[in-house]
Amino acid sequence: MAAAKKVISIIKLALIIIAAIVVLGLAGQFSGFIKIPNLFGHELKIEKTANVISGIKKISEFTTTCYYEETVFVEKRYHTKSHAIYAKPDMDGKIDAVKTIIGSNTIENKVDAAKALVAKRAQEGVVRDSTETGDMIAFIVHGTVRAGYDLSKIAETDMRINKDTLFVKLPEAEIFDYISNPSDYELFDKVGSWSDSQVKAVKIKAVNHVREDAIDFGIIEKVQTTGKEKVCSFFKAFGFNHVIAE
Amino acid sequence: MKKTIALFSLLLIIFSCKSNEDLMNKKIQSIKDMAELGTVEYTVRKVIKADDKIFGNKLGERKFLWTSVAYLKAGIDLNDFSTSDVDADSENKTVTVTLPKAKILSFNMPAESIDSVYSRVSGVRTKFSPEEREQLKQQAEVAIREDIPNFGILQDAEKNAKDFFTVMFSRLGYETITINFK
Repeated sequence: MAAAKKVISIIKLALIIIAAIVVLGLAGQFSGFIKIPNLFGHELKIEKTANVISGIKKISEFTTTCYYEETVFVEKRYHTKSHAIYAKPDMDGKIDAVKTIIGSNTIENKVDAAKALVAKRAQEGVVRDSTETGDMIAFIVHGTVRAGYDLSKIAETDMRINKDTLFVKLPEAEIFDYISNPSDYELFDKVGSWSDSQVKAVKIKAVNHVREDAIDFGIIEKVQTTGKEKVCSFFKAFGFNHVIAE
Repeated sequence: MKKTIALFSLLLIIFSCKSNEDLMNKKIQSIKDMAELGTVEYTVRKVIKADDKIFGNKLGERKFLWTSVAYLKAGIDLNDFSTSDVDADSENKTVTVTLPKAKILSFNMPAESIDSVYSRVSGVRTKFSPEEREQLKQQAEVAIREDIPNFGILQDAEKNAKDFFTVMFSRLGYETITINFK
């Protein structure tokens, strides 16, 4: 008798679990609100795919200066959710219709415009209840900028020798690379939902900041001074006592 | 007296704390001199794909497909390159140059080169979070880096370095030019 009761309770439990899985599955299909996150530390891995060499280019880039930056880059995004409820009274004072408008607009740095709109609608007899929420994503960014002289731009006529002195006309100093790899971005914190394209846009913005910082820090000037000395030392190794960079 | 000390301490704490905004704007910057001659650039394309399932396909699955591009530069480090590495005989117009071995100088897989091509989430699975997407992109970067020895980029870098120095010494009047690597 006791054994039978035990079996029945096990069967009941199994049926409940199966029913729950079916309900979850159906709910996921039709409502989309029940979602299972990444469970039990299940490790995500990419599949093995080929690395295809699509281009090979000969270069002669003499890098003399490297700028390095580590910074926290934060991007914010504001949303305005608004409910508009308005009443239209008829001559007898009856309210004909009440409509509720719910909408949301994403506004970046234009919160004042939204507030002005709210004030205007309030004057028109619309009662608006609005709340501002903000999304945020913060990356720790490691950026590297490399600069120097492109020696392939030195033509034969740009070099002349006078006894033991080499005169060389150097090209303009230039930035060769703004290096930012996936491992150079550490996602520190986020609030809200950020799609792949939105995160990509934030990263591009971050690298542009690093580029501007490198220029403000004087990377080009550094190439034109100590970088030039490096190039002269390089050419001196060819056996010249003096190298004059023009 | 005690009240005064407490008030002073409170004011000290309030005004000594920086806002998160100020801390966010701090950055570490440094600039370094170097002397590296890049002689070859490789463009490497990779398809990044993942098919994430739990309990087979019973609860749904997550798939995505990205294309990515990485730019590799290789060349030689000339920081220690000096006249001792050049054995020149201007009378006989011969020169022997000993260069350091080629190495990878830069690896760049910029965010703008990683494009989402396909993404699908089914069943009760959640979408890929930003953390998961970052993790997968970093795996792709590692996969390319690990394959570098098989590309032949270092051999190309040395070959191009040889060509560069041959042209340079030719312009200086040398006829017999020998380039060796350490």
